Amino acid sequence: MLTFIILALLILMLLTGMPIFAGLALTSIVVTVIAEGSISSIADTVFAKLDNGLLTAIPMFAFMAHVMIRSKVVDDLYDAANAMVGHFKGGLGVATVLACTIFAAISGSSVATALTIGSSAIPQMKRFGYRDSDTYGVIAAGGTLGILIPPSGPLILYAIVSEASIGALFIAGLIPGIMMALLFAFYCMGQAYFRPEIRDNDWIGFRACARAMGKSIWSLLMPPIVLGGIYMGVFTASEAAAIGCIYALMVGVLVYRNFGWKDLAQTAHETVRTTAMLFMILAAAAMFGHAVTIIRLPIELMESVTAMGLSPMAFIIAIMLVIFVLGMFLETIAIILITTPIVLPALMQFDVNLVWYGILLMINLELALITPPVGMNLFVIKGIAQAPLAEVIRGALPYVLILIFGLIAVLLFKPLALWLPELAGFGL
Amino acid sequence: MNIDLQQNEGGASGVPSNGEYESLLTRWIGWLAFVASVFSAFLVVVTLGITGFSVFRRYVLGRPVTWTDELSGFLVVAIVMLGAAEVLRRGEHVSVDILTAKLSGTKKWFVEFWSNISVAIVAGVLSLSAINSVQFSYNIGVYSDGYLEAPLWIPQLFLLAGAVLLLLLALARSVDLILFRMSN
Repeated sequence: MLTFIILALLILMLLTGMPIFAGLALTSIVVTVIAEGSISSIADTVFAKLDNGLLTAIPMFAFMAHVMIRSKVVDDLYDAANAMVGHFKGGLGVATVLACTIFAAISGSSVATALTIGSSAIPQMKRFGYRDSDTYGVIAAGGTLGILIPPSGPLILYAIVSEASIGALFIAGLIPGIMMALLFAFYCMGQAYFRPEIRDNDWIGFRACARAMGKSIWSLLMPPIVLGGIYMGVFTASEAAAIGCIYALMVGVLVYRNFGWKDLAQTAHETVRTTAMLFMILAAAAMFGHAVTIIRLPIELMESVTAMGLSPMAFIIAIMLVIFVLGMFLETIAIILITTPIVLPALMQFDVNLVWYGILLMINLELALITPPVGMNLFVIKGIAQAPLAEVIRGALPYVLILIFGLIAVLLFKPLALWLPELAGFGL
Repeated sequence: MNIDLQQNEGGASGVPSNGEYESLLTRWIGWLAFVASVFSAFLVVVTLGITGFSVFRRYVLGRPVTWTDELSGFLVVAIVMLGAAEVLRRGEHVSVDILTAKLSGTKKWFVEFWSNISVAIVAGVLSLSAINSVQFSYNIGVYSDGYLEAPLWIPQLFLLAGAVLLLLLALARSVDLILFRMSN
């Protein structure tokens, strides 16, 4: 009962339109004051959460992505993907998915992926006979890959809260991420098969294709550079992010020659704003985690689940359903930071693999990005295409079903998430 | 209090849009928030430099440095807290606007006011709590437990500074909203 009261209070606070960090923090302060009669622990809780060297991976990956975007290194990515696969039946849709996948591996952000690839892909797909809703759907869905394919900011935040290995989570996200991208691509091809009005590009020839890929070589090299070191166990996530930043700066300054001191200052400032926005929610979530712990809420949840005699699988399915519903209304970061501290003790009690759960959570949060009424990617596409929201939602609907299929697949076949990290030597 | 009100055409929606109706005090605090965020941006570059240096020492010279993780943690505290007020000034803190996006007039004003007051309450509580923590660490002489063994009140001071800046800005914006309401 207490769980529902606190969650209801929190959701009520958030629905009043206050910043998420303030809603989380205010709820936590109320609970802490009632339970402890003091606010003295609050600053220590926030400090302990933020004082973590692992967190530097997020600002550095954000910095890296800002440098790549600002110096226009990623601008030719869509053309390269189009040159490679645009001549297949439904190839433009496949090219959009491919460009989203590669961009996701560079930016780590779903919204940035939908925004950047969408700007290039929407006019192109419309010109080749794709229906508006189909165009919006594939970009909205392709953008969601940003939180599953490493380096993903939400994965790092989940790792910080759950104390799971960031490296293992990054590697675990690869196969499900590629699987989702393939499913999206197959759907695009099937769609084109049944819609004769969709035209394909002509094959531009190997030389032109190689030239198009050559123009994007610097962005295509980024994922193996960043992820290679983590996969081989050489670098930590923060170190890989630092190397990614140095690589991005070298490409911007030495190759593209369009990244100066002013750009550096502006990029660093953009990074501060992204980081402060995200980490204020993290700080508030730490307060929330502390508040629910002092009233023994996670323990009570665990006892309730045990009393109900739920199997671990039934428990996971129940959590996934709750998160799916929350995802319709809340922002992805908030969902990670609110739900994880509450369910973590029960997950550990059931001996659930936290890396596997993290990947399930990310796929569920991909759904959150394209399910109405609050789906960030839906709004991004609506914004850049000036399209009616209903049309964007209609286009995204088939991808919601595909993502649910992917979620069930990873739920039933754990190796989809765990095989690669085990192979890489992460003891799971 | 020296208040120089700038009034524009924001009244139609019930609240002024960002930066449209600001007292001199709010602009001063906003300027402080901006300066703090510029320093924070400098710290981002420093963090990148430190991590890059650590990678270089470990993998190129084979002589790893031991203090970079600890210092990076302190830097994260500073980066976040010194940037938080600037994010508020720009209206970039994420919120759930499913029920509030289409409001106008008095309802919109109330939501905006409540939003700023809520941030002020949170920042106020954090400031008070941070004062306790800094005082405790300073008086008792608490040091970090890593290789740096740094006095803990120094990184904790960033928590206090950021929270106070956030409090001042949220309060000033709330006052602006009241004055805007009174003048309309």
